Amino acid sequence: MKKRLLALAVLLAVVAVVAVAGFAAAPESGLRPIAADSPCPAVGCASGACHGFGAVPEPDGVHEMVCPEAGCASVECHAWESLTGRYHQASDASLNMWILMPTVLVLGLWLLVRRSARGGARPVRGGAS
Amino acid sequence: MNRGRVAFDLAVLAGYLVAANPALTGIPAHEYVGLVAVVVMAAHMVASADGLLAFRRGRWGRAALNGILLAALATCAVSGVMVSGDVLPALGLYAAGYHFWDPLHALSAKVLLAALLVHVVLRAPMAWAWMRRGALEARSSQKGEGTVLEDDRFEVG
Repeated sequence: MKKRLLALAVLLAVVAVVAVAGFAAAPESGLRPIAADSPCPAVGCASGACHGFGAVPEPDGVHEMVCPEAGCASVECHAWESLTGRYHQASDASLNMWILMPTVLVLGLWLLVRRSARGGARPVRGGAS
Repeated sequence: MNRGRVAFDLAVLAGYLVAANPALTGIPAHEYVGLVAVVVMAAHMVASADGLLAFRRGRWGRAALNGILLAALATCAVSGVMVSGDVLPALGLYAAGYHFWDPLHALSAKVLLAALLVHVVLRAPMAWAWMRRGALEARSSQKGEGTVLEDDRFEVG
């Protein structure tokens, strides 16, 4: 029971550290109550028509989305499709390539080496795994 | 460790797999299921408290992996709340700093997936052995025999 309480305390402490570190790194971020003129957190548009990423309104000449890269609010933005379709998702391809693929590769190699090393001999307990 | 525990762990894994695929579930379901999945995974971590103390048995690799899992889950959960477009508005709130928290959420989710893959591969033999043991015991008790078990993979934590 003591171990479990300790584990719970460690878990909550890690969550608290992550939150504190995040707010320290991005001081402007934080939870706020939604008001009538609250801007969209992603693109800063304060149009009352938007109810989420799936309902991004067309430019109306009054409330405009602001490109987070260039700060431009032109309706002629050539990256409009990206702004409406992709800016709520980070690129998955590079994360797959740099994190998932090396992990799968190392894991696969480790399994191969372990299987070929077994050949009748049992693996040493308390080893790398 | 018993079959009930193995079943719970498998349910935790299933919950994670549902929560970690917003392309299939859609964002609103991803947010709500994700919240439940975080709580369930935290329960799994607390129930498996020995894993966090693996370094005391000299298993530094296992302790490091568990630490990465813990940090990735915590980061994914906190950042997920900060980019929430359904749960927070349902509470009348929104969060600024989207372009800081969203990349962090994507990165921590990918690290969590990679670490979970390693964790599942390392733990699968034990879970399989426990499930097999349960099946062996059930078969033996049906035949009225005693069960002699030679499988020594029943480690805890």
